[in-house]
Amino acid sequence: MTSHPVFLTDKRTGEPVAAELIETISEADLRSVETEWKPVTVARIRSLMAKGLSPADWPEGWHWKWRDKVTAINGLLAFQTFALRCEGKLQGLMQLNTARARCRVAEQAGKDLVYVDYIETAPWNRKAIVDVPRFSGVGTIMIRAAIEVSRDHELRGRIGLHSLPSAEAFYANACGMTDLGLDGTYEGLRYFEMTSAQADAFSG
Amino acid sequence: MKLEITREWFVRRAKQEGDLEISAGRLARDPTPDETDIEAAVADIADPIRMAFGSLVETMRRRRGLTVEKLAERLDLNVGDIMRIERDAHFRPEPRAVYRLAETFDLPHKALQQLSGNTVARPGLQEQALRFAARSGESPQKLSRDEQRALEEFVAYLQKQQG
Repeated sequence: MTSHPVFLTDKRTGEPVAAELIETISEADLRSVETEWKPVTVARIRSLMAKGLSPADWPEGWHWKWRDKVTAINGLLAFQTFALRCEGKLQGLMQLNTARARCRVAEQAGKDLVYVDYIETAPWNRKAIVDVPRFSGVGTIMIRAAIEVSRDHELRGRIGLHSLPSAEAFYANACGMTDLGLDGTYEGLRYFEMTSAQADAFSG
Repeated sequence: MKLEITREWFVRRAKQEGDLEISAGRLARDPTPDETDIEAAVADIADPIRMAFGSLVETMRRRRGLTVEKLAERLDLNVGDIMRIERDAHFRPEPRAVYRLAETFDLPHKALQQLSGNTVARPGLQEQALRFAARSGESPQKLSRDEQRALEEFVAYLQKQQG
């Protein structure tokens, strides 16, 4: 299992803290999702339900099941998974597909890219779930890792993904990806693509 | 994969992330109320105490170097029962089976019945169970040093609670 030293920002101090990006989501990570992430998400949902709020107002992706996602790709070479850990706790997960998608941006249309199947951060890092998030920077690290996987596959950092509605500002503004609009063939989610030039700008 | 992230790069890029949401992925649209039974979906979350019970049985079995088949033989249970005890957090084992597990692994009976979901858990057990379950991994070989430490700490807690 390969791991890489990275950083997250501790929201309490504003300082960067050492973290670890691990190639492969392990059984221990899945258990962390079920025993540490889920209770936090469920507590938030229960409090929203008590206030009479409907699922439309719940944190997006509350129903995701990482065990099902990881089980579905078990043994398939076209997928790579990542787990981000800091201070002994799972802080984020990502699943990449290196064989599925082609570019849509005109300047690189038809070329292969690395498609980001899923990215999620721990519930205690989400403003939609806790009042004061614990760490920030999970998205930044994961997108950088996706770019590096793309470079490993000689795809020059090209990546693509479908963002949840609440995360569109991150991919458009913080990552500088090209917004190709709502995708009617993909649950109406907005599709974002990063060109090799955008990947160089993000990594530089 | 080569990933050389400097502290300076991270600080510069991460400022733009701030508190923004980052989730991406297929089936991202949440189910609408009429598409799902919400209470059932929320309740579908495995009980962490019961998960810790499964992890405890698995790690104790591995520490003793027993296969699932061997343990089933000792307890006079089906192989399928042992697998469900270890893996299915919704499976409620018979109190008799839990009693045999406690005897086999020399664990406190009462605490093990609480962990299995057969009796009500004492305050504090959930927190300790969560810590233990999260630290337990899955390895076909022997327990790692951290798994061994987690197991010893949790068993010590259960014994203290029993006393």
